[in-house]
Amino acid sequence: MTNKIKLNHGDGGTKTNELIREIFLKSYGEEGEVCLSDSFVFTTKASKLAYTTDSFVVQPVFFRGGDIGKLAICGTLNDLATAGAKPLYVSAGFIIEEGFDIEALCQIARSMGEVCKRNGVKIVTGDTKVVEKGSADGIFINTSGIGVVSEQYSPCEIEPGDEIIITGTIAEHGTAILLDRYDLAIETNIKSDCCALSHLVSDLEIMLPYIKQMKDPTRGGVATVLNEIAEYAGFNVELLENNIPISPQVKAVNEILGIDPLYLACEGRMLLVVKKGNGSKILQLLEEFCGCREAQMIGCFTADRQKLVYMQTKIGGKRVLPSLESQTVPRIC
Amino acid sequence: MIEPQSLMIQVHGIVQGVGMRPFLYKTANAFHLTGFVKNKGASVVIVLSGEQRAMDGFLYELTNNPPPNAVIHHIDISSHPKLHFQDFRILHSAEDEKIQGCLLPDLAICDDCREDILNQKDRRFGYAFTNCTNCGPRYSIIEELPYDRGNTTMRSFTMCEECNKEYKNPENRRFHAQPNACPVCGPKYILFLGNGEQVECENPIEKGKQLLKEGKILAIKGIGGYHLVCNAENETAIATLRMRKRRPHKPFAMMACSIADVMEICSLNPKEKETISNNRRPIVLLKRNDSTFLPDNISPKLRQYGVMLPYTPLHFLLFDESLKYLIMTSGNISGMPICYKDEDALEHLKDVADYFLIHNREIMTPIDDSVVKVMEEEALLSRCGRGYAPLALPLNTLNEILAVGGNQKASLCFVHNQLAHISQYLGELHFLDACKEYTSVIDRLSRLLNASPQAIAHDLHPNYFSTQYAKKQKITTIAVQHHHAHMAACMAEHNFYEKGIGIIFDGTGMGADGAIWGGEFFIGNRSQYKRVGHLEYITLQGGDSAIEEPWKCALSYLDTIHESIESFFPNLDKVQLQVVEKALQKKVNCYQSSSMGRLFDCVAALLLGCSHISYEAQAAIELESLVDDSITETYSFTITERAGVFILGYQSILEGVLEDFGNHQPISVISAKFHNTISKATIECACRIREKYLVDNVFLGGGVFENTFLLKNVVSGLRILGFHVYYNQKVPRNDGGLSFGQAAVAASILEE
Ligand SMILES: [Fe+3]
Ligand SMILES: [Mg+2]
Ligand SMILES: [Zn+2]
Ligand SMILES: [Zn+2]
Repeated sequence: MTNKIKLNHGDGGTKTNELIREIFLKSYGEEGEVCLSDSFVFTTKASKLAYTTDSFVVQPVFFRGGDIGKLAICGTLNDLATAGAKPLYVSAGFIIEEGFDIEALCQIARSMGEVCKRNGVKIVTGDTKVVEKGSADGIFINTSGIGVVSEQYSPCEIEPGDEIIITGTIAEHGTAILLDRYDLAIETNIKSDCCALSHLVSDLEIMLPYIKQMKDPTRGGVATVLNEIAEYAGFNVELLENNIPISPQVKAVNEILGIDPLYLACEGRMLLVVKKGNGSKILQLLEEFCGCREAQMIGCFTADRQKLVYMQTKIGGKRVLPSLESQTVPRIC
Repeated sequence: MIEPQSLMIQVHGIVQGVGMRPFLYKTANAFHLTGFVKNKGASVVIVLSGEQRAMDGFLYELTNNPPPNAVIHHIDISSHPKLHFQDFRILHSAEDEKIQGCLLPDLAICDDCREDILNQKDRRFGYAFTNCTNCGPRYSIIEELPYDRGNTTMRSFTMCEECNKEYKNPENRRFHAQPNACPVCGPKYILFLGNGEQVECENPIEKGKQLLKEGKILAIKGIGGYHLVCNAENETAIATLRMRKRRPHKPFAMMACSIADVMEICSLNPKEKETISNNRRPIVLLKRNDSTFLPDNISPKLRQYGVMLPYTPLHFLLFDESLKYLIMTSGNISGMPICYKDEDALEHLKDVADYFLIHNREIMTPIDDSVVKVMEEEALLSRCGRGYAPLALPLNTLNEILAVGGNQKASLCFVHNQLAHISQYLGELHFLDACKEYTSVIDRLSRLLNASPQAIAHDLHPNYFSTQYAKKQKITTIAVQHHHAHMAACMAEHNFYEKGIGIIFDGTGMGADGAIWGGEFFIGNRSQYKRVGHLEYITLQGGDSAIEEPWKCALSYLDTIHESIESFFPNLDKVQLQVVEKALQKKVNCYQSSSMGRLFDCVAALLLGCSHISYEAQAAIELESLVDDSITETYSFTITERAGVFILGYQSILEGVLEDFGNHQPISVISAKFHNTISKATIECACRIREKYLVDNVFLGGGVFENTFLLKNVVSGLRILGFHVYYNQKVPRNDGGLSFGQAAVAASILEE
């Protein structure tokens, strides 16, 4: 094999087949079972399935704490988890820019395989296209996933007093990407929190009836996602600055750059809205059973109906965290 | 012979709660006329019977000698067949009338009432809620119109027999004074410890005064909310207040016992004397005397004091021979709106105040003190609050509009009945309580005015709370560019409709190209504008933090002339500096800006070594305070025309500043030269625009023109060159005036 992707790697002929067999099937690790035909066929007894899709275009492709492959599978598994679903099968479609490094592609595929193996999921169908140099930025991946929804989980209407939990420290993925993309030369151990959260669905099974909503705070971060929830819940969200888990390094970097970490993406964290009074029990479960040692109850819904998200700050004010219709302009001007 | 007739007279304007009906009663009796008067919506309606000559006399008095606080917009008169009455009566307002209100601001205690409370023999001696038809609270206690006691928070106090007699006696100063009260029947002050425990004492006010003398900090409930109060001659008390309020530098407002006491600490011109003494009683920014005996921590590094005179009976009762100056700052925690509910105050201020002096009359609408400055012989409103708000200005349109203002120094404007009603200053909409108050003021004003806007005007900035509020309403929205609104506010105040030059120097405002504007030269009218010039763009790193940490601004600017900021801020963390430098190169969290405010921040930060600020525009304000006004020199600057737009370049200005700084010129000289340069460049730019577009009316606006030295120089420089120059006086030039400007733009767009 040559060490760069060529246009004929995507023409559907022998080169394409070689790519699939040598790279994808080997990396995914379930060579025998994976169906190479156009459709994967399966049966299930589950009465409720969840089905999701997402595209990944992250730059850089390799970043501290992960790569685009890991991100693609985790993202899809986490989207399934938000629906209370344990994943069954995943698809993976690639759009690769001509000239992309083949060794890099192998690494990406291996990352995908690893996450799948660890979570008992199979990549069962896929597609590969190669586009001319300049038509894409390295590599884009689209994944979709299908999973079985736990019968214990039935999201219901949010009420005042319902509590909000985050399963770990915030803004690590966003900060890691920032540091790597712009090579800001800051010495830190910050790395992306990118990981799959499928285990939460089984680990929290007994408490699922008390969980009203799960949401992974990816793009736009915790603040943006909570604004969306507040909007359809119809109530205000009160956060406590003191309770928001953030690593000192992430905090420091963002302070210097003038960025509010509440708006930066997490890729391995879940926001849980839990029925009033059940927060501490679930928190304990998360800490002791799910390995989420940094999980925190960060706030609750209040009876006010302005649908605002605000944070009780350390010095006593209640700062509004607006939904940013535009991320590129400073907030107060 | 003509049949004798009756007249129906309807008086429109600010005619309720100003002693209009008692005045009419007295006048009717003086002319032996019969009939009645009643409130109708915002107007009063009079029906008169009697001799024609007497009615003429009545009308003459009404037009020429109305009560001092009344503002008559117009009078409608119609004739009717003769009606017969026994006497002249004041009728109670009909509840079912449609209310189309004009709201009266809160008025300071009048001289007569002051005499009552200081007169040992008067039954109101020492009574803190004394008022009459000429004075007292209005807007802050009104729940509904018309302005009757039952529609105010005085409703819960039933007048005693004596008060009732006064209230009913047309000869009395308190005839129909809605908040009329006395020690027997009216509200009372009660003293509490910081922990909410009541302090038993005979005279809570006297005790409060004692505590102030001992250096204690009191939270005192007044007209529009709570003040935090301490003795202004006690440096330690002030330092404690600063620490507890987390307000290290921002100047504190003061209250002085009398105008004579103000003159002990400040020098005042006649206009300033008049402004500080008028019955609106704003905080007036005054030049402090060099020899002031007051501690430096009242107004650190500034040459001004913000001073006001007592405006409630309570204030007079707090002063005596040995207590003549009080710090009187809004009772809030930094950035939050003023506390006005007792339970909130006790909760939020418990760690700030040693004692609470609370009264049991509810405040309906919280309202901060107003701030005014006097430039030459003109009073300029900088913060529209108690005594001024709601502010009604004519706006020639039949449309009903709500303009929601900006996000900082928020205000609202309802256009209704051809009047723009501008709300009080509503603070910074970054805080929940401010947002809540803001939306409730929208609801309350819209109810009081019976307004039903058909369009809502808002800023271009998509992330403003006000913009997002506007977009959620189900009526037509009109987006108005920030600086166009500033320009229109100025045009509307001066009733100007033609094309003019707008020069808007501001902190920040969303531009039409997605950059942050604020050093703008427009050609336009109320409905449209063209950007014909601006301060050269700079790339700023760090979003909002560039404003709070002006060293970042300085870094960006100096980067363009290849200079380092390191020597200016020796205490700055090196790693931070490098990271921000790198982030700037790589455009991480960066934006483009033409803001004049940021250029001032940059120069001020460099000259003062001020890397961080603790209140808005602190560095720039301190820099203005240092100006040596004997200096007339300037630095060189450039104006280049690019694609038909004049670009005011800053590089050579910065180079000049740095050169002088390197040569150890005094900061006061560099500050003066910098200010002079901006004035000169502005004037030069205006000349180039006049030459090209043949327009010579100039409208100045934006927060940077709160800098009086700059405003004065630009105005006089332009006038010498034959420009007609306008700027806002009745409405704040800063973002507090934005809602009025948006309303003017929207009105004009809807008219087209
Ligand atoms: Fe502005
Ligand atoms: Mg997703
Ligand atoms: Zn009076
Ligand atoms: Zn009484």
